[in-house]
Amino acid sequence: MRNHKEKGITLVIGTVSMLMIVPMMGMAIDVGFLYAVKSKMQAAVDGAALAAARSLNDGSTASAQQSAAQTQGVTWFYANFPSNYLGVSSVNMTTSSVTYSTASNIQTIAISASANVDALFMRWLGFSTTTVAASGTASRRDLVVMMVLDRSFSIDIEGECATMRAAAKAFTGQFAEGRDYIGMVSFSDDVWMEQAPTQSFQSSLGYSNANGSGTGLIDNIQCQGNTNTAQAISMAYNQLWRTNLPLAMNVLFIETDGFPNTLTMNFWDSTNVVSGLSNSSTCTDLNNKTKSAGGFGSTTAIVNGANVVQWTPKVPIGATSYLSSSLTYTTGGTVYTPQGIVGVIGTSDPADGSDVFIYMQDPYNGSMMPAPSCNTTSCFESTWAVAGTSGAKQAYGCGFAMSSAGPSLGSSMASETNYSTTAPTDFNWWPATDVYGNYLNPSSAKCTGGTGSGTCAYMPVINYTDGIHVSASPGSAPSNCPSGGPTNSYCNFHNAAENAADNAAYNARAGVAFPSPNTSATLQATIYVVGLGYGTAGAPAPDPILLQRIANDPNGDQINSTPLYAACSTESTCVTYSAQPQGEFIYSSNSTAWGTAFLQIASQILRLSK
Amino acid sequence: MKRTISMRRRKGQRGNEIIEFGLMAVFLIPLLLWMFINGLNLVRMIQCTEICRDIGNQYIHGLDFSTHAAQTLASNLAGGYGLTVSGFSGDSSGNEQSNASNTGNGLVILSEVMYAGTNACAALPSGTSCTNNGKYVFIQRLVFGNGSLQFNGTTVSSALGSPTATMSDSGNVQNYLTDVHAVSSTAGSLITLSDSQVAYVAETYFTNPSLDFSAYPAGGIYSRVFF
Repeated sequence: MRNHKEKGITLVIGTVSMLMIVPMMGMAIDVGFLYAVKSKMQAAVDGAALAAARSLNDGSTASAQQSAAQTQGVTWFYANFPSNYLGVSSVNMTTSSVTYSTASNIQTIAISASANVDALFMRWLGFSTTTVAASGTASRRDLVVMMVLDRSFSIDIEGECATMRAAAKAFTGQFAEGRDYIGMVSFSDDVWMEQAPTQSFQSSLGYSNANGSGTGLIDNIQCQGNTNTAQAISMAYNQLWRTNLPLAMNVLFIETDGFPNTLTMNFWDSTNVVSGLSNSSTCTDLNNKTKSAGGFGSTTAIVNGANVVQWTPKVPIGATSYLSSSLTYTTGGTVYTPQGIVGVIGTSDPADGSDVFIYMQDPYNGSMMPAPSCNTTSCFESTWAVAGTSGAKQAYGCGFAMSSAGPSLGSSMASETNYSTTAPTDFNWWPATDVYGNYLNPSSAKCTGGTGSGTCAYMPVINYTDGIHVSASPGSAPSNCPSGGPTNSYCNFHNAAENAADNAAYNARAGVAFPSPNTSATLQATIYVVGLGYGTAGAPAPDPILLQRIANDPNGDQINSTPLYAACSTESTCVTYSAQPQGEFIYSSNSTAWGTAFLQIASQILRLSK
Repeated sequence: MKRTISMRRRKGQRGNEIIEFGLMAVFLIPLLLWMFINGLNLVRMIQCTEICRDIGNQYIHGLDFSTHAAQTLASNLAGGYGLTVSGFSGDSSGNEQSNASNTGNGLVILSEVMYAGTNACAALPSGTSCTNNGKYVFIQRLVFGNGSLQFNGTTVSSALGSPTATMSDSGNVQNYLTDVHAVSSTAGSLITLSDSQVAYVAETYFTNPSLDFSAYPAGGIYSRVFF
């Protein structure tokens, strides 16, 4: 019941209740602002932490890198969090807010920041400011990168060997000296283990970056010879395995400008006790007998004792190897590929204008370029190979017999003499694998879990009549060879070389257990590839689908405005493997873009190392 | 019928509560409305900042936002904010640099910028002039959402500018060291980079609902995060 004195009571109650309502609403607004500031600050801290982690590669010492990370953390924070954002004050984010810790090849950056937020309403109740804080962390894995650099003749033909060297030095300049590990394998016909992964890579390999430049092994690269991609991939992967850092990001970075066209093979099949030599071959075994005269019939006719004799060339791998014991031979503390009749066979490229085989060469010193210093124990030199006038060690009198006058180089393959032959008459077959166990004609069982229309064998290859080996002179052409095109034998070998490179990459991505004490972890290499093009008609060009497969990259061309290749899923010969690390392939279509392609790969590796 | 005292009294007081409530409402309703709009905008501001941060975080970790799958993921991430990507067409590889012909209330712009100094220019072959030496250049630009989005009648655009250089369908800028159209004239005022250093930038625009309030950036919410 309401009497006269109660008139206006609603107004009074309402006014009194406003004393409660307004502060509550004010608090809601103020708290809302606090959350808004907190959200913005958290985003700023996250961005700063990631940028700081990325900056850990800047500097040549650990302290310089930490200092760079701290500085960049502050820079990025203030770029993301303007000092006057929603009226905040006393923003506290300094280099001391960026802390650093390391454990097992992982560096962690922790960033914290705080700011005072002025209250709009709560100040009337004595709460003038509230401190908002945010923190974030980002990690960066150390990197183990093996550069696999193609130094084949085609790069020199186009006059771009120096461009490739400059791009490679810009690549090494992007990584953290003293923290990351970078090594290098270079390859043409022969494959040189130039540098095992080292934290002093900038001083050993050379580099260029904003801090300066230095010379090293990259500067010594000269471009000459063929493209022995499979062996290069396997040797580089072996170095990742031997470095034995399971928590680091293990990367193969491959640069190439052409087709794989060379293989390092053992023509002695010790399992079936048979050689790949033909009866027409003039090669002789240790008993001075040719194949037709009953030679090459036993291991002792080829291998004499534990070390090097005439027919026992071996390819050194190192003190240990990821390869199975059936693929290695150990003596004197060094692991080699098995003894036998080992040599390098290469072919011309389709663009060369003549489809020829190059005479069998020394696996270490066959590309007519002065190899890095070596001896017969640290790096193999076959005794059957003799240095010709060019300096290259090749087979004179055996294994595609060539004149003792030695090869004469010309401006093109067709104009060269004493260098090549159109038919591999000395051989019946090529082995099922190269000396690293990479299959020349892999069955589907050798690759599992693929997605796409392609098969394990990238290219069709015709086997020898024994069903074990690959035919050196098939009676018909592989199905992909155009009518009236290359000879059957040339095409079959060329396809086999592409398959071996593809299979070498598959094996590196599939991984094996790290050596002791990390045997519970598996090394699956992530592979990045730059395919070099020249932007001119008739110049060499890599096979993009093969390089997509090698990188396990399902994407089409992401770089060129006019795509040069399609997504893997749309290519009939492409396949990717979801259980293996996805890398990236960049087709750099002209030499002007080579350097930026190398930098883009470096940036991508650093981006994903976090 | 006998009239009670209370009934008699009510006759004189009839409508008092309405009047008193009306007087209160003069203060309460604007206060509640202001509270509602503020609360709504604050929530949107917080969420838009987080959407921008999350998209940028995925971008720097390698998610390819030139694909429809990634853009759909971003759209789902911005659920309820009207980021539409259904106009995606894509090239034969399933990439599209700019999918901005959509309606909707959101726009996402992703950029990779680099300071091209002497070292970056060293990547060019000998004898090639490094036109963009000393400048900030775009390496990648991706756009998706509603490219016609307007804040206060003005079409929104990136604070970094827009490269007009040739780009691939994946947004990679061609010849960014030599093409003047790859230069960002404003990046240097937003962040300082050293030679060859790269920054990844996520920018998002989301329009406000029809209720607008002048205390907030008029027309919508813009967020930007450097990674």
